[in-house]
Amino acid sequence: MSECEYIEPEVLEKMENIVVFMCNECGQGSANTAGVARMAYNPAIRIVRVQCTGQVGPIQIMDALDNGADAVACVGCCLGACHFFNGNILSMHRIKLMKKLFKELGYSDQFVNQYTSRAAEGETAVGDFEDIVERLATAIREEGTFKDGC
Amino acid sequence: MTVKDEKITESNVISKKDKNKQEEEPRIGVFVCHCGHNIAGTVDVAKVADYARDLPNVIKAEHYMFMCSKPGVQMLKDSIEKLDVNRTVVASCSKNQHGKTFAKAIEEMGLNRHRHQQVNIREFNSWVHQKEKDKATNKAMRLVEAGVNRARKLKDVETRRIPTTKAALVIGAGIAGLRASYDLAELGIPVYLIEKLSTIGGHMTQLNKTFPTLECPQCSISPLTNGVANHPLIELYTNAQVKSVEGSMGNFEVEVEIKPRYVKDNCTSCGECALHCPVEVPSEWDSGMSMRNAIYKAYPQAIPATYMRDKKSCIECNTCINVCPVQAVDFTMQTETKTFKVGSIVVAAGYDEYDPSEIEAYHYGQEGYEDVITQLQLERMLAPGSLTNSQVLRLSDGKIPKSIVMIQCVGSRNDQVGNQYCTGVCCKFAIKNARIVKEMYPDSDVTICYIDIRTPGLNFEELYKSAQEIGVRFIRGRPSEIVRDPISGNLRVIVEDTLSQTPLKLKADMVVLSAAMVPPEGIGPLGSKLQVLRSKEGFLKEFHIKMNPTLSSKGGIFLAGAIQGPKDISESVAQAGNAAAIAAAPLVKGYIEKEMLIPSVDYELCVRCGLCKTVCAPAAIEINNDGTPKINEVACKSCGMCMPVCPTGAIQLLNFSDDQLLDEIIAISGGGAICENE
Repeated sequence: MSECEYIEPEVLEKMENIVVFMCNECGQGSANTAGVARMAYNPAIRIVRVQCTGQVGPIQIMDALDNGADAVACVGCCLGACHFFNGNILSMHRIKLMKKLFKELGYSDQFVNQYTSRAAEGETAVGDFEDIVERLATAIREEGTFKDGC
Repeated sequence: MTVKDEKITESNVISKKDKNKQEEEPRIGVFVCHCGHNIAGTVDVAKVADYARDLPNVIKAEHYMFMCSKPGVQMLKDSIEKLDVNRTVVASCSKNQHGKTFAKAIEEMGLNRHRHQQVNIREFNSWVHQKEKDKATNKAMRLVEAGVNRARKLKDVETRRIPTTKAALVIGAGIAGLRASYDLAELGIPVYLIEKLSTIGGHMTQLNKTFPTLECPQCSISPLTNGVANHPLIELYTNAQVKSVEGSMGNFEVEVEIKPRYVKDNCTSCGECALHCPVEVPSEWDSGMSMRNAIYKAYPQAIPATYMRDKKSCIECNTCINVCPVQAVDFTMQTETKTFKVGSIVVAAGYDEYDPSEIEAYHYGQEGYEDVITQLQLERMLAPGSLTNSQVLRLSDGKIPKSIVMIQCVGSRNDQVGNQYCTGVCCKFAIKNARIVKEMYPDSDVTICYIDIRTPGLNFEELYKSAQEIGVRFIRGRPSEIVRDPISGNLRVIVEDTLSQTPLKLKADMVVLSAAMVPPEGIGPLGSKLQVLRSKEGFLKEFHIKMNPTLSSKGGIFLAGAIQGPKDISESVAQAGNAAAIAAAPLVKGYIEKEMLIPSVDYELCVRCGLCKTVCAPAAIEINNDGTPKINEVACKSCGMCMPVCPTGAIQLLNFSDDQLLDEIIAISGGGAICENE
C-alpha cells in the first residue's frame, strides 16, 4: 500500500501519535502476528488493548484526540467474526457517526477510522496501519493536523 | 515538562481519592525485558527503565535479560516481598505469550493476578520498528508509561465458583447425539436427549453400507441406539424441539415442546394399525423410495418402537383406533411442554442432504427426469428390505440400468449455485456406491464425473483403487447439463473430460447426484434460541477451529457432529465423544470457576434507558422492575459493549472503565491536553 503513495517527510513528521484501539481477539492477534513476522510499520502507531472494539466509545476517541493523538482507529475482528457477536459492527456504526460529526464540526473525517483484521494474517493489521497513515497524510496535506485546528 | 507536571498533580488527586476509598497507595514495580537482542537490539531498555523510575507511584524500575526466566520471575517476586510492590508492569512480549507467567508469579506471592499489567514492546514495537531505534525507544517509553498509568488503578478481580446443575441436554439423536448422550450418561450425568423426528439414529440408519469397510450401519449403530434407549440415566424424547433457552453456562433452563405421537407407550408395535390404514404417503425416512401409512413406524428396527400417527396426512377414519388390540391409539393426546434444568447443552442436530433441484441444468425432481436421483436415494434403494429388494432399478420403468453416471460436487465447490465448501465425504460414498453397484451388475457401466477425487485418510485410497480395478470409470470434469431425448426419453450427461480435453455425451440410464451436506432445516431458529453464532454457510460456529472445535461461541453449549460442518461418521463420533467429555467436566466437578471481570452499575447515575440490554450479545443484562439493569455475572463475557452506549456512564466494566482507559490514553497519545494556551 505504502509503496503506491508517497508521503512527504514533513507530513510524516507531523504524525507523532496514532492511537489504535485493538480488540483482545483478532486485533491484538493480528498485530502480534505482524510483529512475529517483523512487518515494519510507522512507529507513530500506538496500540491500546480493549476487550472489543464495541467497547470504544466517543469518549475514548475524543480523549485520545484531546490528549495529543493525531488520529484514532479501531481495529476489530472481521465482520461476522466478532468474538462478542457484533461489537465490530456497533463500532463501525459509531465511527460512521463520528466521521459525520467531524465533518459537521469542520474537521477532516479521516481522523477516525474503523478497520478489521485477521489474527492469522499480520498483513491485515499492517495494511490497516498503512491505510491509517495514508488517510492521515491526506488529511494533513489538505487541512493540517488535528492539533492545528484546535 | 509542564505537561508532565500537570499529569502528576492529576494522578495525585486520583490517588487521594483512592485513599478515601480505603485503598492502599499503588506501589508499582516496572520490569523491562531485553528478550536477548529481540527488544534490547532496538529499544534502549536502560533509558526506558530510567524513564519509568521517575513516573509517579513507581517504586522500582529494572531491566533484565529475560524476564520470563526463573531469575526474572524471581525479581518480580522479590520486589513484592521486599518493596511491598502491589502492582507489576512487565514490558516484554505479548499478553498471550508471557502475561500469564507473570500473573501467575504475582498470584503465588498473594497478589491478585489482575494486578499485573503486561506491556508489549516486542511484537508491537521492537520487532516492527527495527530500523527506527530512537522512535522505537520513544514509543517504548510511552507504552510503559501507559502501562504504569493503567496499573495504577487496577482492581482485584475475584474468581468465583459457580455451582452447576448436574444434568445435560443433547439436541439431536443422530450418531453424534447418541454417542454424546451415552458417553455423558456413562460419566454419571443424567441426560435429556431430544430428537425432532419420531425415531433415533439419524442419517446413519438410512445408509446401506458405511465406507471404507462396507459394514452394515444398522448393525454398528443398534448397540448404541438400544444402549441409549435403555440407559437408566437417559431420558429420551422424540418429536421434541427446543422452545426456549434461558440461563448461562452451568445452569440452563430449557423449555422443550414435545409433539404427541397419538399412540400410547403400551403399543406392542404389532403393525395392525398400519396394515388397515387407508392413507399412503411417500416415506420421508426412505427418501421417498417407498410409501408409508398415515400411522406408521419409520422402519422396522426403529427406536422407540411405538407407532406414530402423522396428523397432517391422517383422514381421521378411526380405523386404527378400532383395530388396535391394546387400545394404544389415542387421538386426544396433546402437545406437552417440559422444562429441563441442565448444566451443559450438546447440539448434535446433524445435517440435511442438499436439494439438487436448485441446479436447473440437472433437472432433479422434474417430470421426465425421474431417473435423476441422489446418493441417499440410491442408498435407500440398495439397502436391505427396500421396495426394490436391494436391486438398483430405474424409477421410470423399473429396469436395471445399463449405465449409471454419478455426478460429484452437487451443491459443493460451486461459486454460482450451492455452496463453496467441499463436503468432503461425497467422493468416498460415491466410490463406495459405485463399487457396490459395479459388483452387483458387472455388465453395467458405472461412471463417476468428478472435479477432484478427494480420498484422504487410512483405507480410502485403497477403496478408490479397488473401484478403479473392478472397472468403475472416472471422468474428470463437471457435467454441464443432463439432457433428455424427447423421443426415446433417454438421458445424456454432457461433460468435458478435462484430462483429454474431449467433450463427451454420456449415455445414462440413471444419474446419481452426490449432493452436499447442508445445515439442517430449522437451524436458524435453534441457533437464535441458543444464542450461538453461525458460520456464513449456516452451520453452528465453533469457538476456535483448531483449538476448540467442539465448543460453540457460547460457554456451556457444545457442538457434536455435522452441525459444525460436513463430517463423516467417524469424525462425528470422535467429536461427539470430545463434546461429551468437555460438557461433562464442569458437571462432574460440580462448579465452574469464572473471573468476575464484569461491569458494575452506578444506580445513582443510571437513567433507566435500557440501552445496555439492547447491545448485550450474550444476553447477560436483564432489566429489573424499576428499569435498572441487572447483570448476570455468569453469562457476562466481559466485552464492555455496554459501556459506550450508556448515556451517563453508569455502567463500567471492571478494569476497563472509562476512567482507567483515560489514564492509559493520556500516556499513549502523547500526554497532557493539547490546548495549553487556553
